[in-house]
Amino acid sequence: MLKDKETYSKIILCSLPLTVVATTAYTSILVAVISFLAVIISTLLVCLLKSFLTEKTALLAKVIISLGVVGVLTMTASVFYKELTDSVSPYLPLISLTTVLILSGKDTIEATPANALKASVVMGGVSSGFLFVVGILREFLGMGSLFGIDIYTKVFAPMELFKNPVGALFIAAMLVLLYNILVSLTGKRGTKE
Amino acid sequence: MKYITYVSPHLKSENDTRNIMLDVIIALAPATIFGILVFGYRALLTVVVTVAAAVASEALYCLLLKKPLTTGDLSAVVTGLILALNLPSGIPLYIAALGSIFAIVVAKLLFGGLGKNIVNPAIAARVFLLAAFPAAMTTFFEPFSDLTATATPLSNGEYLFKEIFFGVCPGSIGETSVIMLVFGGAYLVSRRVISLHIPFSFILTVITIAIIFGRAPILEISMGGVMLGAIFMATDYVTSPMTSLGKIIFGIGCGGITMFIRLFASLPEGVSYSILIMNLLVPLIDKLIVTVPFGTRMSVKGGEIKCLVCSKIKKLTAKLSFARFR
Repeated sequence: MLKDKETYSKIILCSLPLTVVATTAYTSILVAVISFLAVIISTLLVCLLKSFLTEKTALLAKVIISLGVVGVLTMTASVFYKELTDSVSPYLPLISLTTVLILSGKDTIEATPANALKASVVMGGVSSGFLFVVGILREFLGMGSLFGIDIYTKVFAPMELFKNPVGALFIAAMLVLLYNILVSLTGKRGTKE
Repeated sequence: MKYITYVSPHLKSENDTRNIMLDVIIALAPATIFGILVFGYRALLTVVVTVAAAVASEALYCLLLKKPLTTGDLSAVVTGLILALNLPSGIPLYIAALGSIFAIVVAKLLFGGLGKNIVNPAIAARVFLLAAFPAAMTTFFEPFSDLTATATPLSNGEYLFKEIFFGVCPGSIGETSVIMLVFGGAYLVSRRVISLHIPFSFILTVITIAIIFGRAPILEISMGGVMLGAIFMATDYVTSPMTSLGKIIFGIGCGGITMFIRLFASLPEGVSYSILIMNLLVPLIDKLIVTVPFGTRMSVKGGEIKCLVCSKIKKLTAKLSFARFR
C-alpha cells in the first residue's frame, strides 16, 4: 500500500475539500460512504459510455455523471438517515467535486470496466478511509467526544480550532506527516534487509 | 624556523547560540519579573510550565528520534519564556504546556530544528492557541487581583494612560510594561544581539499609521504586544531578513499589518499575525535585496536586480572558456 506514494498523495489531495464537511465521526462515515459509492458508480458509468465520449466532452460528462450519482445516493441516504443527510446536503457539490477530481485523467476512459472498477474501489477506499480518520480526529479534538459520547470535556477544554475547516486541513497535514514517516521507516527497513 | 599555518577563520567570536540565548533570557527577565509581581503566582506557574514543557519536549523528541540533544543551546528556554509572556496569567496550565509542545515540536523541530524553522515558534504557538482555545486566551486578570477583567485596553477598556504605560492593566504576562521591555531591548542592543532596524521601523510604522488614522500613537505602541513583538519576536535571527534594508522592509510590513488588523479587522490585536505573515515573506525579501559587493554598482534589468560587475565577470569567464575550447 505504501509503495505508490504519488497516487495516494493525489487521492488525498483530491479528498481535501471533503475533509471540511467531515466534522464528526457520523458525518464522516456518511460522506465517506457516499463518495466511495459515487466514485465506483461514476467510474463504471464513464467506462460504459466511453464509446460516446470524446476528449472534449469527457470532463463535462464526468461532472454530469458524478453530480447525478451523488444526488441519487444522497436522496437514498435521506430516506434512512434524514437529519444526518440534511446536514451534509449543502455540501453535495463538494462530494461531486471530489468524485470528479478522482475521476479526472484519461485512465478512466481508456481502461476496461473491470480494471476501472478495481482502481475505483482502491481510490474510493483510500479517500473514504482518510475522510473517516479525519472525521474521528476532528470530533475527538474539536468536541471532546467520539460518536456523540463525551470523552474528556469535563476535565479539559476541547480545541475549537478543529471544529473549523482550518482544523481539518491541519489534521490532514499531520496525517500526511505520519504517512511520510511510515514510508521512510518502511523504506529504511527495506534497504537494510 | 617552522611556521604553523591554519585554515581560516582565525578569529572566533564568543557569540555562540548559547550566549545569545542567555542574553535574550537576561533581557526578558525584567518584563517577566514585573509580570509575576503584577499578576501573582498564576503568572509564575505559567512561566515555569511553558519553559519546562518546551525543554522537556525538545529533549524527548531528540531522545526518541536518536538525535543529538540540543537543549543546551537554551533556545527552547527562550521559546518557552517568550510564549509564557504572550499568554494571559490565568490560562489553564495544560493549555500553556500544549502551546510549548506545539512551538517546539511542530513549529521548530519538524522543520529541522533551530535555524531551519520558517516562522517564529513562539508566535506560531500563540496563534495556534488563539485558534484552539479562544476563550482561555482572551480571559485576562486584573492586576494585583483575582478578578477577571471584562476587557483589555485594546478592546475598549477604559484605562488611564499612566496605567497602560507602566503596565498596571489587564493583558498578557509580559506585554503590559513598556518600560521593562525597553530595558530589555536596550540591553540586547548594547550587547549587539539585535540591531535597531526592525524595532524602529516596526514602531515608527505603527506611530505613523496611528497619526494618519487619528489614533493616539503612544497608546498604540503601549497597548498589546507591539513592544514585545518589535523587540523580542520580530528580531529573531532565523525568521528575519539578513540585510539592513531587508530588516527595515520587514519592520514596516509588521507595523503596517498590525495596524491594518487593529483598524479594519474584527480582532483587537494583530502583532502575532503580522510577524507570522512577514516571517513567511522573509525568503522573498532576502532574495530581492541583494547585497552589493564593495566597489560595485547595481542595475535593474527585466525586473531582476543584477550586479553589473558580477554579470561582466560571468561574461568574461564564459568568453575565456569558449576561447580555450576553440
